[in-house]
Amino acid sequence: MLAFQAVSKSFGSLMAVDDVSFQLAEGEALGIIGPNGAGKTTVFNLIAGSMKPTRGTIRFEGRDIGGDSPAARCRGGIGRTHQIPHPFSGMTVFENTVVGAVFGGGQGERNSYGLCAEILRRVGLSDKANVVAGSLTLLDRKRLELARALATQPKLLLLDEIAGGLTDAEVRQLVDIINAIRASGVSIIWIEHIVHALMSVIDRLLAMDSGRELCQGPPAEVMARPDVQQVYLGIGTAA
Amino acid sequence: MKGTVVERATPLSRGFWLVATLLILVLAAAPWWLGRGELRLIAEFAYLIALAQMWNLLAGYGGMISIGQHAYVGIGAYALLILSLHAGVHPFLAVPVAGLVAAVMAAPLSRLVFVLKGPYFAIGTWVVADVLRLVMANVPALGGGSGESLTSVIVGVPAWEREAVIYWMALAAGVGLTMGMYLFLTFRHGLALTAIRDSEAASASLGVEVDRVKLLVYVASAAGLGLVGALIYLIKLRISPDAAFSIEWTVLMIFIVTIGGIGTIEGPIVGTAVYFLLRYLLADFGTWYLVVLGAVAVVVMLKAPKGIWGWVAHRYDLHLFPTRRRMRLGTKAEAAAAPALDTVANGAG
Repeated sequence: MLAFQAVSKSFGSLMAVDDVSFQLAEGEALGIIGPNGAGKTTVFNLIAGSMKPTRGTIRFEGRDIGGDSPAARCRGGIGRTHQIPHPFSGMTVFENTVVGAVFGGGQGERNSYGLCAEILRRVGLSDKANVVAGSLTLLDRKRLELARALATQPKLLLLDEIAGGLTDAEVRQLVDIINAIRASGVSIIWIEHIVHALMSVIDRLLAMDSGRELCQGPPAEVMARPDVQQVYLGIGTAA
Repeated sequence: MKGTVVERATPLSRGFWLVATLLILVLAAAPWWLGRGELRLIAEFAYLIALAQMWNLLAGYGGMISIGQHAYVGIGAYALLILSLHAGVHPFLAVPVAGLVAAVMAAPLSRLVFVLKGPYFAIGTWVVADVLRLVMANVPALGGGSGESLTSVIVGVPAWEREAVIYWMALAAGVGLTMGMYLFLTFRHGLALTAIRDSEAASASLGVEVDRVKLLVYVASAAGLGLVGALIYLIKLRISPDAAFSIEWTVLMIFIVTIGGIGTIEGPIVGTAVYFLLRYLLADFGTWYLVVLGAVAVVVMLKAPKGIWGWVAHRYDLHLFPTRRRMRLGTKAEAAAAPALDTVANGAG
């Protein structure tokens, strides 16, 4: 459903993403790992439309989406969460979700209330529905990022380090939620440093370094490769 | 979930609306029981709320910090001048038309200033306003640098009618623009606007066309300012480029909004009241008046960065114009438990 074809993005002389290609099938879950600065979030920005590629094309459901605004891509079915949560801090948790459902999901405001209540229940935020989002804890902010993205009723969900900074128990809760989302037929691309969380969800793994693809394939194989271990885990580096 | 109920009003807001409606009715009848001086004062109070509300819409909700909104006060004033003095339009009719003129001007001007971001946008808006001032000063047909008097277009109207209609228009502008903004915020687009206020990046990735909403807000703000600008100069009756395109208008709007509470409907009303109070108390102290005004602004910005109303709303969870959608869950048991849910919200809010 998503084809990322020979895409590059440069900022001046820096190649943030350098000739990266990958495909995503319908219902598939792809993981992306790599050290900080490898260009992972830039890949998301290119897919979601907040940045334009310097070269290459991005197709979603067969159509070149290069000219679409971020909002149009969201309405087209690409939902994303941000690495650093951006809650609408002056609005309640419920209202935050309604924004996604109304503008991203194209629903009438009143019609969206039921869906939003259901999504808040799924991510475990029901009891905080009327709390102002600015007062949430980190875990709840991450849940809210997820809830809002789900409210847009995405076909493809981009998760950017959604487990980062959480405790093990919180990560387990989140993995359960993400697996349930997958089971409902949503395709997922997940950038994550917490590898064990990632491995319990994804079908395929892409490893990146300095804007380039290191390798991609079955998660266990990718993780076992010496170059991945060297770059990513710092194992085997000649000190 | 089926049967999800959402409500906005609170007992306090219902009480406030009752009092506010009565107050507006009493004020609407003021020309029959108040003198000219008092009417002018209330009219000024009302139009300053309207001006401040338009800057609040632009900066507090749209996130566009402009220091050149006096451009549209001036455009409104000159639209009034051209329409009533030179084109023979009745001055009372020229006031709303001036709002339309400002909106039509705002669309192309927005293309100019929207290219700029942040502080560059702010300076850019100021430059646009100053260029307009200089252009008007160089049109001899409109009085050039010294401007023109409007007295001749209004002398035909009987004194009481003149005072009353201008007063009603000012009252309508203050109440109407405040209510218009409130209604807008309760609609779908208001949700988008509040979202943009809090995070542009998140709004865009949730399907909100940020640029389109911003343009709409910029044009709406200009329309309101143009209308009020025309009204102000229908009261002053003398239009000159230096006065109509004076940055003092924008400074006043910024002062009122930041003191009262940016990004709230209540803020500009509170801010206008504070401004009037300070002006009244310090009327005999000459230049010290401005020193105190500046000091108050500095203290409020340090102690309560969200303004007086922002502080009150946060401290006491008080909302006279409730835009918040409070969710109640469907079943009877849950509905009965909903007050507890509200308490949670209040406690954390």
